[in-house]
Amino acid sequence: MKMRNGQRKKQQGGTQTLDTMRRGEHCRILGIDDDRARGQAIRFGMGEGALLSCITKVPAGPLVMRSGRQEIAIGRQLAQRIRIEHLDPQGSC
Amino acid sequence: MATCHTPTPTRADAAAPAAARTIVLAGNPNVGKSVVFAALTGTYVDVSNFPGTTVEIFRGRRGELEIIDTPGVYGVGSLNDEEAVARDVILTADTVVNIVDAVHPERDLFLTLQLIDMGLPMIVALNMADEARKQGVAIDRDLLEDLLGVPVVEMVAVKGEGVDELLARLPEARPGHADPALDADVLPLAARIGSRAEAILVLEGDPVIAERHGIEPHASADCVYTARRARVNDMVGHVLTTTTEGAGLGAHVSYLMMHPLTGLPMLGALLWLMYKVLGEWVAGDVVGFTEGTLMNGYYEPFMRGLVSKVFAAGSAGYTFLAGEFGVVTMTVTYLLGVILPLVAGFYLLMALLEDSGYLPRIAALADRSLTSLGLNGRAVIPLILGLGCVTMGTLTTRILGSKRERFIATALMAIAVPCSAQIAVISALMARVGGWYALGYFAALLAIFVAVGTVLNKLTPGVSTDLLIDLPPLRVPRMGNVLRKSSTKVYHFMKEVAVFFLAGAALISVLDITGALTWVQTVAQPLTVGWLHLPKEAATAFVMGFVRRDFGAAGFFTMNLSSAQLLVAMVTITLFVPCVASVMVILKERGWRYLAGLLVTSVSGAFLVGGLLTRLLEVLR
Repeated sequence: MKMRNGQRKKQQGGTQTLDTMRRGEHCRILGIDDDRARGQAIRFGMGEGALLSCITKVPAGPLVMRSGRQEIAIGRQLAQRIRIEHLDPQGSC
Repeated sequence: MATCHTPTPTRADAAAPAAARTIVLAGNPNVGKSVVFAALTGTYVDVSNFPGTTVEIFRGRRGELEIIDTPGVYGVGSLNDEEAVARDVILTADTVVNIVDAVHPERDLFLTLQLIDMGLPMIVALNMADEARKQGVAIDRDLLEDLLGVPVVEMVAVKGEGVDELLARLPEARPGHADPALDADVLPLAARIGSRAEAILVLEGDPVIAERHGIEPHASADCVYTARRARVNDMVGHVLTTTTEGAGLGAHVSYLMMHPLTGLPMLGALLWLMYKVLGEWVAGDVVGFTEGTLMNGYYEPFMRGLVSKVFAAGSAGYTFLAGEFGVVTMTVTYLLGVILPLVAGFYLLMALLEDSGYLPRIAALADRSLTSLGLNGRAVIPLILGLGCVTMGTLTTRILGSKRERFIATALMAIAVPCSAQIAVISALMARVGGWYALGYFAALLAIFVAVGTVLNKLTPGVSTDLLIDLPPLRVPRMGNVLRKSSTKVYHFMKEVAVFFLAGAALISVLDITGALTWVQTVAQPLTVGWLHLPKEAATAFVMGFVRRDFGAAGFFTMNLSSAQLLVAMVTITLFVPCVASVMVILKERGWRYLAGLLVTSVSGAFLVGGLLTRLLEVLR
């Protein structure tokens, strides 16, 4: 796992949330702490365990994530409730 | 597992016409389902709201087959109204035709596997096969057929390719290879409630289906969904080969659309274009012809002549039917001459934005700003439509995810969004007063819009939902699709609201005949003259504004106002109550308490802001 700097918010147990992603980075989803969003996210192929890459981060706005060739815009507040682990691009897909 | 109850009877079947077989089309949004439907049936035979919802379903026939289209969904369940309707229609199917976007199998196959797990006789149509080939996406159809266990046909529905093959293979439809790991839980449940499809839904925690059978929904949704997703990914890994990366020009434009620095100017350009086409051309020239030439010139004199044969001119009956607000004159003119062209223009524009893929990107761009008003990016859809017609915008708040968001969006539109009919008149008036006052008008409205939203976000209880939307690839809109979508929406809007415009005009006519209207005008004068420093006729304009918002604004044309007075009048009448049709739709959608609160707030707010603005402008001068 690669850490570019130490400014990222550390969540409990060393996991981080989706809003810490930056453009071009990859991650794996560990959990979604929102019942309504979880069902929808799995339908979109972005459930727990899914590998995502961040393709756009609208300043202070939503993150655009790609999984396969599927793109999803995720509101910033929801992104804060999605637990992830950052992945080294080489190590993922 | 729940305690054992006697199964309650399931819902009474909606009067299903006797057809040999019922074919139900199911698929994700924007996969060309309606095109396949049209190709199979020739035309939309019957469009109706699913009982108890606002979701539309389409029924058609082909020989002995009854064909039903369902709303586009990513899965079947109770996540939203669309899913619930799709679920209930699918449960009545003899055969399900699952339309899969050949460009996005990894998304679409989730629904496919769910339908297969439900044990429904099925056939898969891989639509947009040409588009997939163009994008370098190849799907091994034979292998997919083996893995799914159901027939798979390739289609290019817009060109009519594959329709014959689909029909020819329809008899081969069969239940596919369901996940064997589910059997341990599903089989006993299915035996108990008599349906494997419903057993799967109960297992996935669908509360509605569980309640129909008087049992507790299971809590294994996450587990079932995750396993299904893993199967989809595995399957896609085997059948799909991509020769080119999907990125390129589209991805770059997509990024520019969502980044504020470039996205805001693009959105600004779009709004300016909208103003030119819809505000000036449709609301001006087109409405000038349909309302002025056709309706006022030919239709109304004809109707007045007809009515005067039964009621003497000036009698109550004549005033009611053919007077100033006549039910058969002004209402019909307004509906067909003004509302219809505007609503058609706006729905056409929205369909273009939707089909091109720009709309979800505007939603992503606007999400940040709308979040601080208690909404999320999806609210751009009702808000933009509200600029066309507040009534149309209010009806479209149904797409918002929570009651709280519908509450806020409805109030914002009723208070601070001028409709296009009104914008057209206001622009004409503002052209007389010069740029600064016109700018002042839009600045004042924007400030009020933000202020109202911010306050409502603080005061409204509950939690708003977050943005979570699919960004489909950008493409050139397909005109057939755009026309079909927008014409359906226009038809439904007109069908739904015509009665409200009629009832509104009838109400105003009664007030006019009984003298209540004159009384209101007299009572309001101290407020208009004393507080807003406007001529006393302004009261009439405010009352007229309730009948038709553009009438209200137009009333100021003849009053010879100073530039400052005109600005005050325009701001006040925009903030003032929405038109009577909007009021009735708000009553229907939000209830009378909400409406009462809204009316009190908007009337007092309009006069408060108007009075303060009057004084501010007098000090500045």
